[in-house]
Amino acid sequence: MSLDDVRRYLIAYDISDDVRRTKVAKKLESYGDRVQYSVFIVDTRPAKFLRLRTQLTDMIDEGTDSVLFCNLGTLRANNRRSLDVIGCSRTITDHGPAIL
Amino acid sequence: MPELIPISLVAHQAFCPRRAWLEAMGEKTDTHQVEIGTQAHTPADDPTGSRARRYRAVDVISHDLGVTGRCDTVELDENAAMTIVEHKATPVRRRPEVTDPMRIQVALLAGALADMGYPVSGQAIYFTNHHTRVDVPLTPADRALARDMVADTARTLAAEQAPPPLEDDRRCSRCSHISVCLPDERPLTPVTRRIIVADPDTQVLHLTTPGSRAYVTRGRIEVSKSGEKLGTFPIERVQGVVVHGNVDLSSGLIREVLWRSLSVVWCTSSGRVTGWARAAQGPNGGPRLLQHVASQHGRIDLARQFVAAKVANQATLLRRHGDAPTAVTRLRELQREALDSPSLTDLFGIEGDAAARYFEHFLTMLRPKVVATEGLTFSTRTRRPARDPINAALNFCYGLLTADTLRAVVACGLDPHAGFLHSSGRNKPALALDLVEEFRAPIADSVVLNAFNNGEIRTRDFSTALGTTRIGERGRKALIAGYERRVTGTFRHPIFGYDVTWRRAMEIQARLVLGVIDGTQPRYQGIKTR
Ligand code: SF4
Repeated sequence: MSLDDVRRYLIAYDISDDVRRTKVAKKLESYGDRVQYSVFIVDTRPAKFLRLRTQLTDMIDEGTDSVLFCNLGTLRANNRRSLDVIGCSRTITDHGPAIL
Repeated sequence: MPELIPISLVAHQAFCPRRAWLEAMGEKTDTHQVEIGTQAHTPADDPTGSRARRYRAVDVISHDLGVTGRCDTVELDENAAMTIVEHKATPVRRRPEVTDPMRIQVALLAGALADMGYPVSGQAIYFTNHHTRVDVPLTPADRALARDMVADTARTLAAEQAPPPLEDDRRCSRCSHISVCLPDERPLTPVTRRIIVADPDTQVLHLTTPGSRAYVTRGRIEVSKSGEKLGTFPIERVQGVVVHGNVDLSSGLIREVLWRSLSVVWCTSSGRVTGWARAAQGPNGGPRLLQHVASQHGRIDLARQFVAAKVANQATLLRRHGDAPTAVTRLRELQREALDSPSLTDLFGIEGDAAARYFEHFLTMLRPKVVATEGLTFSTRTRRPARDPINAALNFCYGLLTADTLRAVVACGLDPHAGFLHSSGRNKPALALDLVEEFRAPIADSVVLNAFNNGEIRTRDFSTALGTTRIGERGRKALIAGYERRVTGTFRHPIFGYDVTWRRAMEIQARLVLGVIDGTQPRYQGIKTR
C-alpha cells in the first residue's frame, strides 16, 4: 500500500448561502458523484484530495459553513462494500471501462 | 548577461542534479509529495509567528547571485528588519530537520533580499506538519556553498545531456520525480526496491455513441444525443479522451482537456487514428530535438528491439493459446535474427515473415466451437479494408493501442512523428507505431481472441458490404471494454519483475526511448512476455 493509493472519501456539506453552496457542489461534481442532496462520494488519491480540500476551504465561509470529510479507506481494500443504500440510489462513477 | 536561475531549481540541484534537470525540462508529477509541498507554501496559521507585520509571497531577485525566487513569508520586526520564513511539509513520521537543500534555499533568499537593499535579520523554516519553527543561522560557509550550488545548477542546465539517475540511493524513494525519472529501471534488471508508483485515479474516457455530442457542464463531461442525456463523467477523473467516429466535441471540452495537459485522440469508427490534440505546454523540448536528429540518422538498435519483442510476443501468444509448435519454433528463430539484423530492410523482411506464420495459425487460438458456430474465417491479415470480422476487430484494437502509445509519447514530450522503425517520412505517427509493435500480441490480439472466445463479440456485430467488413456500435463497445480491462490490469513485468498495469508499461517504454535519446539510458529493451 502506498501513500498515493486511491481512497474513497465521503464528503458532506452544510452551507446556507445559495451562491457558495452552488459553487461547492459544482466543485465536488467535478471530482466525484452526488449521492444525496448534499453528500458526495469522491474516489481519489490523497494528493488530489488535498487540492480539493484547499479549493473548498477557499470557497466557504468558515464562520457559518461546514464541510465534512470522511476517509473510507483505500479503494482496493474497500471494494465498495462500505456503502449500503436503501431507496433510490444514484450511480457512482465506476472504475471499470469508461465508455459514453 | 547569464540567465537568472530560479532558487527552487537550486534547491532541487542540492537534493539531486537530475531532479533539477527534470524540473527544468518541464516534467510535472502529480504526487502526494508535490501536493503537500505546494500546500505548505500557502501559509496556514503559523502560531509561532508573532511579529508585527508579515508579507507573503515576496519576489526576490539578485543579479550578483544570479537567481530569482519567492519567499513564502517575510516578517518585519519593529525596526523593519526582516526574517524569512519558509514553509516545509516534512511528513510527521520524519524529524523536522533543516536539510542542506533547505539551508541553501534560505541562504539564497536572504542573500537576494539583502542585495535588494533590505535589512535581513534572520531565517527560519516552519514545518507545517510539526507546527514547529526552526531558526536557521547562516555562516559564511553556508553562503559560499549556496553560491557554488547556483554555479552547479547552471552547469546542470547547460549540459548537453541529462544527469544520470542516482544508483540505489535512498533519496530516490522519497523523491517526487521517481515515476518519470525511473532510476530503478535504468539497468534493465529486476527492481528490488518497493515501487511506489500508485495506480492512477483517472481513466481514459471513450466517446463512442454515433451522433452524440460531448461538452463540459458543472465540472463534468456530459454526453447527449437528440436532447437526451446519455451520461456524465467527472472531469477530474479523466486521463485522456478517445473519440470514436461521429461524435461532436465542444470546443470548451477540448480546451478543458488541453488545459489539464491531457490529450484527445480521434479515431474513425473502424479504429484508424485520424488525429490528436495535445497541450502547448509539455516537457522535454530539448530531447525532442535530439529525437529528430536520432530519427534522421537512424537507430537500428531501437528498431531491432521493437521487432524482436513483437515477434517474441507473437510466439508466446501462439504457444499459449494456439496449436502450431513448428510455427512457434520458427518465430523464436526469427526473433533472434531480428536482434542481429543489419538493416531496416532485413528487419521488415523478418517482421513480414513472422506475421505470415503467426497469422496463418491465428485461428487455432480461437475455440473450435466458437469458430464453427460463428462461422469465423481468417486466411490472412488484411489491413484496410478488413475482409472479415477478425481482421476488423484487430484493426479496431490496433487503433486503441495506437491511441495509448500516442498518449504515452506525448506525455513525455517526444514527437509521435519521428520514429526509428517506421519511416518518419510517411506522415504517420511513426514513434507511436514503433511502440505499438511489442504490445500488439499481448494486448490487442489477446483482447480480440478473448472477446470472440467468451462470446463478447459475435459475427452478427459485424456487417459486410462490397467486400468490406465493418464493426457495429455494440461490438465496438465490447472491444473497448475488453481492451480497457486488459490495459488497466496488471502483469508481472518481465524485465523489472514488479507488477504493473499494461498502460503504465507503455509509458515506461516511451520513457526508456526518451532515456536512450537524452543519453541517460544505455539501451532500450522491448517487453517480451513469457
Ligand atoms: S528519482 Fe532519484 S535520481 Fe531521479 S530525480 Fe529523484 S532523487 Fe534524483
